[in-house]
Order: sequence, then structure tokens, then C-alpha cells
Amino acid sequence: MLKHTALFEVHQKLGGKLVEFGGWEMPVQYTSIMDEHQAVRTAAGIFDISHMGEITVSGAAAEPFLNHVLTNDIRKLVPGEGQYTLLCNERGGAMDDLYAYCLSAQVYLLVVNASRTPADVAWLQRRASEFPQRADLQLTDASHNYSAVALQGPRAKEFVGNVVAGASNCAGRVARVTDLKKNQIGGFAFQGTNVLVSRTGYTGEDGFEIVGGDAAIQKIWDALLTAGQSRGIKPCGLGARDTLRTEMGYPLYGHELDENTTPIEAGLGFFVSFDKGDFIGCTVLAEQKNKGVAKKCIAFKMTEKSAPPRPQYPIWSTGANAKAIGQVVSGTQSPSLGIGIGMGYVPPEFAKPGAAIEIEIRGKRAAAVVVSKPIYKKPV
Amino acid sequence: MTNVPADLKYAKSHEWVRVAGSTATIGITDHAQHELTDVVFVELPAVGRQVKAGEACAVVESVKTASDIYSPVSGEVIEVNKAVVDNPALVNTEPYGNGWFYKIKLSNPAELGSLQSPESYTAQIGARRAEALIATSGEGPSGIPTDQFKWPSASAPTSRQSEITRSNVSAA
Repeated sequence: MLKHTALFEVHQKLGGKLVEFGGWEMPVQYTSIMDEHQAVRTAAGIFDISHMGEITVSGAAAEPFLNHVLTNDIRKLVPGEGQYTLLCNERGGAMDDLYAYCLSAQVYLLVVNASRTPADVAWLQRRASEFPQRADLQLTDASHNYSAVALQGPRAKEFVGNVVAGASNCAGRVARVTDLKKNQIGGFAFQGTNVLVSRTGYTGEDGFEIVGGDAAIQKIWDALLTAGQSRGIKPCGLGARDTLRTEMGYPLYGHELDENTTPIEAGLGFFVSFDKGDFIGCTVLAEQKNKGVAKKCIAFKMTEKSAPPRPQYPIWSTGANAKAIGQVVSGTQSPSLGIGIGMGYVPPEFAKPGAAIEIEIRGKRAAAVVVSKPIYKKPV
Repeated sequence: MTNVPADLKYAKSHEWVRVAGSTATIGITDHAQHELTDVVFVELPAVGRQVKAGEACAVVESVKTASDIYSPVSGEVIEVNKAVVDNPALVNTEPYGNGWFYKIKLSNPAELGSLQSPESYTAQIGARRAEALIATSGEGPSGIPTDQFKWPSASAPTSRQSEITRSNVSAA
């Protein structure tokens, strides 16, 4: 029995093509992935992200607990700020990648992947029960309380303030929602209730992610589509979400990250803090940082016309001793570049931008090149 | 509304056949391109290849899926459509015209008898989708999907009411 978000009927009414994702029935596209992708890159797109999980962590022990279970340094956050971070197991393998927000002193919000919410909650509850200061720690899976939308695109800021109006009333204090800086989060009144808005996103464009109760988010979805109509807003599904994040080289859990892949192997060492004290997985991660890794995540671009690269396609080295060296984990046709792009894992000696590789596509090898991220670089 | 031209024959797997004497042109239907949406790549059989009816001989890829194309008839591939290799979007915009895939010299014309008529194919893909649009010419209206995004009307009230109260998100 697949789960439905509060916007499910809206997706049906808009003609969304519904598919299964992480136990939820979600729209993969409404019109075409290409159109929806281009709308986000040039105007604005709105995504239902209600399937994602929200976990609240509070109390005097919240900060030390989160620094114990997450890789990034939560002490960097003042109220109203968020950071990208990872939850790792004892082997340094990624349990999830997520955003952690400090809403106020001793109150944190974690926004986690839909497919990992039950695993994350179970893991955090077990770790909390073992934590010495657990008496000063409250952990709640609040996912069922919240719906959420992501408004993304260069024109989003032109009309978001018409829907979420006024100054923030908690977390990050700003005079208007468009004053939120990147990674900043604030609470805003909306028709008798409160919503949280963060200047974050998964597309590489400017944007806002809005978390609130079901009724508020339903109204906000409708209001944003209406307010953005003259600016070219489109509703966008998971298909465009995937092409947008792949162009940016952003990881998707289950592809670039899994329980047997560490943040260091995934190229996310920037989000691992080694000067905050011990955290779960730190021994393995420190060793990888100092001694190197056996596999490294690369981004690549096809250099000849080919069918799109797709997950699990073999990656080959080139030249006289060409051999299979790894596997694609994400791949697609880039709507912005008009060529195949993707990410994969190879031994570190093949992971240098500029290195020539080949992707085996249905038995034939096509030429590609390792590139630095983002794969799609916005024209300045 | 999906286009199902009256002068073509159809396979269950959504290929169409246009017969001219002993040769046939093959492509995929408006219904098929609509399901795929953005075609990004087409792989065609080599000229000179012998194919059997039902054999996979081409591949059409969208952003999310790769689909095999099954030859509706047997024979020798005598021509392939370079235009659709260079510009795969033609499959979406002109599925019965410039979006054709390959031409075949029929080795067993009797096979045409087991292909579907426009009426039978229309019934297969669902009467509500075809809406009795059976064009009388070979090149019908362009295959651009007509299920366009429509602006939402006022949303109906919902019974799932849960709210973030100010107390959940304490003031700094």
C-alpha cells in the first residue's frame, strides 16, 4: 500500500504520471521532464517534497548528541541556520545525507530522505538511548505532522514574498522571506498557522523549501502556482528533480551514498569535521582522509553522442590495457547540456578531471571524460 | 487525444507499418511517443540486416527509460532514417512522418494480415485516449502531447488537518 502526500489529489488533477518512490506514490513528471527541468533553470518550478522526513531533536544534550551522530560540526549553527551533513554507521558508511537546522537554542530540525526516514529514526532512537545525557534529550519523528514543497528557480524570489508575506517570527529573523540567506531558515505566519522557510534546494538554482501543516502547504502550493504563472512557473516531478541534481553532481542516497560507502569516498569530506571530537564513524573516516580510499566518486560527461548512461553500466579505462574499472551510479541525458552525464565509482587513480574513460552502454563502449562538479556550470 | 491514422497497420507493441508495394516503413505510434515523452536517443538496425517479425531491432530512449522496438514484419532493412538519429525529438513531434525509423523489404507479406487495424489498435490503447480521432490522411496532426498542464482551481478542503503551532517551534 503506497503512501500519499497531502498533495496527491493535486498531482492527479494536474495529470501527473505517478510512480513508486521510497514507499510513496509520487509524480515523476506532469508534462515532460525536459520542460520541467528547463522551467527550473530559467524561471521557476515547484516540487512536492512532503514525502521527506522531519525529525526534531531538542534539549540541553541536543547539540552534543547531534555532534556525536552527524559528521558536520553542529556548533557552527546559530539559531536560524542549517547545514548539509551525514549520518554514518560505525564503519563510516552513510546511513543518510540530510540537512540539520538550528531553530533556536537547544531545538534542531533534521530533514531526511523519504526512503531512509524509518531507518534514520530507528538509528537515532537507539543512539539516543545509549547517550550518557539522554535525560536531557528529546527526539521525535514529526514526519506525519508536516508537508513540504520546494520552489526553485531564478524567478522564485520575484513572487514567493506574495505568498509567504511579512517578517519571520522565529528561528532566523528577517524582514521578508527573500531576505533569507542561503542555508538560513525562518518561521513565518501563514493564514493562522506557522510555516518554516529555508533558502535551500537540490537543484543548483536559488530557491525556497517550505515546511508546514498539510492544509497550509496545500494552500501554498496553489498560491505559488498562481502567483508564479506570469513568470513561467511549472509543477515539477521527480524526473526533473533527478536531472537537475545530477547536473549539479549532488548525491542521491541509494546511488552515490549507501551504508557501504563513506562520505570521503563520495567526495563529501568538506562536510566531515575532524576537530569537533569523536563522532560515530570518525575513526574510519579519519583513516580514509589520511591514507586514501579504494574507490572514489567521479562525475563524468559523454564526449560522443550515445544512449544515456544509466546506473550499473560499467566504466572502462582507455588505452592499450583498457579494462572495466567501476560502475555508474547515476546517469541521464542532461537537458541543459544535451549530452549524457552521470556519476560513478572508480579507483582513485582514474578519478582525475580530464581523465578519458568509457561507459559501456548495452554492450558498446562510448567515450566520456571525468569532470569536476558541478557537471553543468551555469553561464556567468 | 491520440492519433491513429486510418491507412496504417499496427502491432500490439505500438509500432506502425505503412505498406507501399513490397516495402514497408516502420515507426512508433503517437500513443507510444506520448508515454515515453522526451525521446533523447534512437538506435536503428543496420541497413542490410535481416529481421524476423517480433524480433527486437531498434531501441528508443527517453530520459527515464530505454524501450526495445520489435519489428512487426520480417524482411531486409533497406533504409534507416538518419534524421531521427540526429534529432530524436522528431519521434515526439512527427511519429508518423519524419519520426519514422526504418524501411524494410517484406519477405513474407502474409504477415500483414496478423497486424491490427486502426480500430483494433485504438481499442487496445483505450477508447477514451483515442477519442475517435482516426485521420483520413497518412500524416495526421502532429503528435505533441495534448495533456497540457492546467492551472489549478481552488483546492477542496481536506480532512487531514495538522498544524505546526508556535509552541513546536520555540521563539529564540
